[in-house]
Amino acid sequence: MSKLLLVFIVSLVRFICYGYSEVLRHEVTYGVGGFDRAITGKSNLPIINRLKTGDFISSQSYLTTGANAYGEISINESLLLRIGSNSILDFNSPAIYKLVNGTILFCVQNRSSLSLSSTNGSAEITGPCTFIAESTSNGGYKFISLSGKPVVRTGDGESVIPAGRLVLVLGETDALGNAYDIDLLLLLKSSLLINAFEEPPPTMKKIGLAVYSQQLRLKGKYNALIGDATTDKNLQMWVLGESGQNEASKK
Amino acid sequence: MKKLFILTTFLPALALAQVDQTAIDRPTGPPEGTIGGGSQTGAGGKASDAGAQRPISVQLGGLSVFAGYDSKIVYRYNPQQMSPDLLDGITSGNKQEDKSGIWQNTISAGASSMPSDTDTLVITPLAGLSWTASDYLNDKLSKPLNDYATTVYSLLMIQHESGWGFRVGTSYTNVRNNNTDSEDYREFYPNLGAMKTYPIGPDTLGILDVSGGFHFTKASSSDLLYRGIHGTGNYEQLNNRDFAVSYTIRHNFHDFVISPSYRFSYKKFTEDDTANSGRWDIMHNLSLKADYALHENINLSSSYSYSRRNSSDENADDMKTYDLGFNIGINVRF
Repeated sequence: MSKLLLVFIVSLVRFICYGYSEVLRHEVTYGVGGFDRAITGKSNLPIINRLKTGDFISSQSYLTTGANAYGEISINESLLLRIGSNSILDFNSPAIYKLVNGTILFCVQNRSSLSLSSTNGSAEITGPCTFIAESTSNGGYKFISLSGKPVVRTGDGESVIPAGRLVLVLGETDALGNAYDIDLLLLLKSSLLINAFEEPPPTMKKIGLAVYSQQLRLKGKYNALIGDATTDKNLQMWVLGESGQNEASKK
Repeated sequence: MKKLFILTTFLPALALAQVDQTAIDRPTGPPEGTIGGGSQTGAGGKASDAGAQRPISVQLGGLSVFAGYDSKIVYRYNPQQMSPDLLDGITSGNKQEDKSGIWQNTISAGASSMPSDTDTLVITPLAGLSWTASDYLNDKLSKPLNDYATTVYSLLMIQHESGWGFRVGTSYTNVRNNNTDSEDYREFYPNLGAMKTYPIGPDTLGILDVSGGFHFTKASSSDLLYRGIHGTGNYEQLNNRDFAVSYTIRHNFHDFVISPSYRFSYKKFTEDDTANSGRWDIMHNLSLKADYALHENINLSSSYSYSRRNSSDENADDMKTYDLGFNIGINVRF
């Protein structure tokens, strides 16, 4: 009873201090391993909390994961955010995120927009859609559309990215880089942002429909895997050699 | 038409099911057969959780053309689908040939336009044709039964996000006798169908298929006779409407795909004042098929099939047939 009272008082104080929008509205729907939340305390020292399934958090915090750690947060019940291992995400507000390192997956279930930046790159994404973002060495990130036709806006303009397409959000210039169609089925089978969680993403049926559509359009597969973007002009391609050894090349 | 579904409906549906399967299995480590369970990121190629990103080429517009060739050798018991009394000569006075080897060769081609994506549906129209030559290795059957069949079809496939795939289409088939070069049979077949594919295990899919349609037919008197039907005054007496439900389990076993299947069909003949007036048939079919992909475009398969017909018609009576066959198929998409 005293615990409930304490929770009530804390919530009331947070409501008075930050307003309704920042009361603990975002539920941790999955957390395993070292999935932490870091906020800045009064003395500017970070306060770190280990997150677990069922916790509620506010924004204006950093979300971090260690090795083999994964987290999932339902944001305002309209966004679902998944965080891969070894990742750092600045969760500024339900509409503003900064991917410092690692990988994230977003399910955007309505036409809302969010801003996703990285160390250098930045883009505004409008749903409904499902996408994966992966940070790259050049300070930008890879944007991989899994379902829907998200509109991606940068300072250079905007593009509609159909499901199954990877586009580079560049780090050195405020623009989109080259786009590549990628094997969606292989990505889904190998992605731990899909497979390391207890439940499939809520948009899984739409992702499945995107796979179906891509299969009908498929002409051929290249014997390579896309790697890191070390600069805005260099993208690693891992060519699968005949001997089964991977060979790195740059494009 | 069977080849049509292999080329179009079934494979994408299988892909769809594999996605569901991936989600349900939820491996905690990197899946086998991929590189580190993720893309190779960084100079050292360390794995990330995003997944392997393999570049592909896709067709953005225009037509997607496909073609195929199949060669099948089959041993069939009761190829004429006669009742035991007719087969043994008890009814007709002449014992019929009850078995034959059959060599069938099929070439097919078709084209589909690029799918239209909506929020919940993918719609794909397609059309195609096939030509099948059947050679009966039993000399006594080859003269009346050797034929070649030409089929043209059009189809609209609608895939829903629920995993159900719907199809509506029409086909026209013409069968000509090799010996007389005359038309034995033709039919126009508007039809509807729905198929649901879902995972039932790590390597196993369940496939439920429901279909139905109207057969508007015209058969020659000799064709009617060889179908065991008496009374040849009306050449449209094979007109019928049919309904079928099938359930197939598709199991991956090493390099093979094993597919046991059961199919139930109901056929109601619709022409009044004919020998088939008021007749209905119920057909049960059990089959077992093993596929082996020799190459991306070449498939080997063997199959066993057993069918049993229960008919309301005394002349048609019940019958059973079975066959064992081997098939090689080459299919390409352009």
